[in-house]
Amino acid sequence: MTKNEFREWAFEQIRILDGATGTQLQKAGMPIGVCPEKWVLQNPETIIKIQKEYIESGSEIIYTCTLGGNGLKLKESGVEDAYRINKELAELSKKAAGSRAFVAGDIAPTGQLMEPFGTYTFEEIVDVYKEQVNGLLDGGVDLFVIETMMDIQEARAALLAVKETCDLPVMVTMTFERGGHTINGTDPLTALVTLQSLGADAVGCNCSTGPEQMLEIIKKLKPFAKVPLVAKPNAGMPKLVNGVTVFDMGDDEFAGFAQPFIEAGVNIIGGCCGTSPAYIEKVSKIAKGRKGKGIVNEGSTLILSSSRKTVTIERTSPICVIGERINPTGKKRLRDELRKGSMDLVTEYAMDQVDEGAQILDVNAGAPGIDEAAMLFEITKTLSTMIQTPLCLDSSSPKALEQALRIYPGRALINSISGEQIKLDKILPVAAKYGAAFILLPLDDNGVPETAEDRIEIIKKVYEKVKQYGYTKDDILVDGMLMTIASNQSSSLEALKVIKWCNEEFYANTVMGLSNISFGLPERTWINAAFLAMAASCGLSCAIMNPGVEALMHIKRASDALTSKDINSIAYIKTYSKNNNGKTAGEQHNPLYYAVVDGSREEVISRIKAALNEGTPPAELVDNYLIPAITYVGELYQKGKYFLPQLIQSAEAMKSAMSFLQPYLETESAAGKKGRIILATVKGDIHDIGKNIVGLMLKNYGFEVFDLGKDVPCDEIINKVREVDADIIALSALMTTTMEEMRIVAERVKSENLQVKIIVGGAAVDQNFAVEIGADAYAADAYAAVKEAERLTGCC
Amino acid sequence: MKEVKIFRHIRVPYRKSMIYTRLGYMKTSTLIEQEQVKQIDRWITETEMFCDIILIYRLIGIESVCADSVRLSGGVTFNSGALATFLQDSREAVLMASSAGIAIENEINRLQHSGEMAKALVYDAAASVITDAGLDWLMAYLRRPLIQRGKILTSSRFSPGYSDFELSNQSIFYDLLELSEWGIQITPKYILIPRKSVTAIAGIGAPYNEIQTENGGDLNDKE
Repeated sequence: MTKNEFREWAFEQIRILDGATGTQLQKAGMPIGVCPEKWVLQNPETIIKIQKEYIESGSEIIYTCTLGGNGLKLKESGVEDAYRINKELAELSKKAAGSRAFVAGDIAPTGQLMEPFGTYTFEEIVDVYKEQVNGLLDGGVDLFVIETMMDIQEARAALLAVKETCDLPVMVTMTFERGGHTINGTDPLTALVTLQSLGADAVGCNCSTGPEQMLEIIKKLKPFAKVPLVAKPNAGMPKLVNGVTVFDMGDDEFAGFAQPFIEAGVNIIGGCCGTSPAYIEKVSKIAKGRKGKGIVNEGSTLILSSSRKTVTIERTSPICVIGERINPTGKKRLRDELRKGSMDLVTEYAMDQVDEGAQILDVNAGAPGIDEAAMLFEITKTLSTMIQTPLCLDSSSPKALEQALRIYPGRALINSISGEQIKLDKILPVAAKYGAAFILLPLDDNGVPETAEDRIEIIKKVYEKVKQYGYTKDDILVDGMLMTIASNQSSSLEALKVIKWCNEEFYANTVMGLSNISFGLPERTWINAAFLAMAASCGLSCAIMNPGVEALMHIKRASDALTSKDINSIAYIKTYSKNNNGKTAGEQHNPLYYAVVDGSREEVISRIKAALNEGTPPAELVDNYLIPAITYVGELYQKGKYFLPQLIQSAEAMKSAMSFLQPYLETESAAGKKGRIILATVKGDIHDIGKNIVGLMLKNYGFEVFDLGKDVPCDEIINKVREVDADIIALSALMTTTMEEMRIVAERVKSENLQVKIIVGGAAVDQNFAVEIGADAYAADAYAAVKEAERLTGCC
Repeated sequence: MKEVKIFRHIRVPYRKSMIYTRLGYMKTSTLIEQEQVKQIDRWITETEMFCDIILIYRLIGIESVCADSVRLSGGVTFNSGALATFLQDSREAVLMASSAGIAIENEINRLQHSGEMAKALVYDAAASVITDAGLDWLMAYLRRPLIQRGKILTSSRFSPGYSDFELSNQSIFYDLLELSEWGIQITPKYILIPRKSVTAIAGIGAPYNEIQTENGGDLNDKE
């Protein structure tokens, strides 16, 4: 069966797969714990019988019994020669199927993790699968199925192994956990986008949980599927009843999902763990021969993916920002870091740009003294594990692009392919092999055309060419070909015409390398920002730009609102509205007060400097603004309007303020010392972050704190009490094994008749324990510690 | 085959909302501005970079489960009624550990010493959630092949320190999982170092026809 034949066959009507093999083999006498592949070869009649039963039940595709048939899996069971075993098992299935059903060579996880998480390289895993593929192929399989995949990268390796070995169709089904992700965090849409672009002929899910959850996944996938969808669910979840494993869904209930699956858009359906020929027969009776849904959405939606995330680009969506900063050209520091082999700055730039609003990251590794192919590979490897944002691989080197695309665990964007013959001959095939989307640059071997009309001609020609590789308008971003106005002032208008034409006549998404427009001019930001707004009005889909330039991001958000791409201006309002942090309406306070409430250390210092310059007495700043502000923050925290990081940020701002003001404070203000507190994490305990937060808060509220640190013996605490004449001992313990130290301290205080109060706190401690050991108070958190300290010292 | 198995450098998925909840965020009442969310999210992402998750596990048979104790193959006994109840239907157990490594611990300490307490606090909470998510990942990883063998991994797990399962049992996990080989230490009070380390036990229910080995079955066979 060819790929095209398979596609037509699968879209023609609902197709029926088989059900579980393992549980059927166990019912037939295979002991649990043996290697199924080996056992089946020793008992060939068993698998032939089971598979014939499935075909009798309606299965149109049966899977070879090679789920654990890859070399790495077989080796764990002490079995060598994966090629022979797969070939013989495929031959058995062919014998069972005859001409009545297709046989799919079954490929599944190796059980090993790839670099950087495991010891195997991507290519080693591809080779392991190729050995299995060759065996199955020589055994006569009609197609392949890659199933029960939990790792998208391993699924890619298996898919490439099949693609690089033969032209047979391949179905790929992933296994999703209850939350709807694989265990590595890949969601179904990301898996679909990655796998269908890489060349899977059908995509879906198997095993996972029961049909109910799988149905929801299929519903979500259908609008984005360009290939037939597969569902092969378990018969619910297993449970042990009287020492026997049973699945909680009977065949009738299971088959009851067939109709909803068809309505949701599934094209190929079967059963996984816990199902049997009886289940398949009932599903088949409902589904077989029914017309399934074809592709439901053929609009111009470009979807890119990383291993955990997709980004959708549509002409009606807000402008998508492609961060341009990972490019060593003109960046000496980055170039030097890359030459040293350090990825620190790349990671920092990536994180910064994502924070600033980039949805895709452009990655360019070309610079003198740098091996571009090796560097692009390293950057891609690093970022694809650390950053969820999809990558745009920016290179004109086919070798660099191929190496990076091969290991990129998602669907990348290539920057770029033009009408130049070398690009069409060398880069286009690479892009097509890995299913990458690309930026279509309207230039050819004659250079960049002056006019929009000539650029449009090139776009049409290139598009005709790329269509031969299966590309559609969903797979490209057309570049307007922006040139600096410093050399040709009309170039901006020509580029805009191209964008407008793409948007209104060609119906493709568009992109601009924004900073090109202002090259050679002073104050480039204004030119860039103005042009961005103009391009937005022509329907620009994406901008390659620096999201760290605030003016550009402001213009982008405003443009999105003005062009109705940001529907009801929701994103704009969300970005620019202040929630007022619960501050009382109508109440007017000094900006210094708000700086503390907002937890802004920088703002606090600048406000204090300004106030001092205006002649405000330092003590007045403390008494009138700082203390009321931190008190108000405490109230917000108590009411649940602030959570801990906000409380601490305000406390840090307060601390900065007090440190700055200390030299100016001639006399004690209201922030004078309320009491002396010994603070310690008890002996044996090494957790101190909670204790340190309590210390910060107590200091801010005017207590003198003597922090003895962590793992502090009782003697040291008692000695310090005597030394400084402390009012309070505040003790922290996180573990049940260390909280008993608090009792020892409390008993020493009592036996030595020390006039000091004790506050206890920490994860293992509660009010009852405090009472039991004779402590004076229990504090559930840092703010409660302050309140208790004030109560015990009579300062409240 | 070595009984203790490990996965290194795992980037485990985790729920950011759990970190916020751990920090006291309440959806219905906490007021937080976009800029603050952005900053906290950035700190969380940074924490992820500092966490170098190592997952260590071994399967072990359960010899007997009494009212207040569980005896494992090899003679190790856990005295805990709560654990016994938890494992009453299990015939094997998975002992497991997850550690975020020393880099995140050093960074949290550095932040505290430099007075960046809010950041330290978020790092600390995020590292705890990520470390725990390591065990979620491991259980999900083990669960699938078990189902295909007709076995069932308990949906939850039990850690030393829970209920009457005393923290001192951490030393048994420490020995059985050979944690010292991976640079993890244990203090006399049974605290693991790096502090962002956690151990747990989960049960595996198996049908009676299972071919049982002393150290538990192998997970390699499927369907």
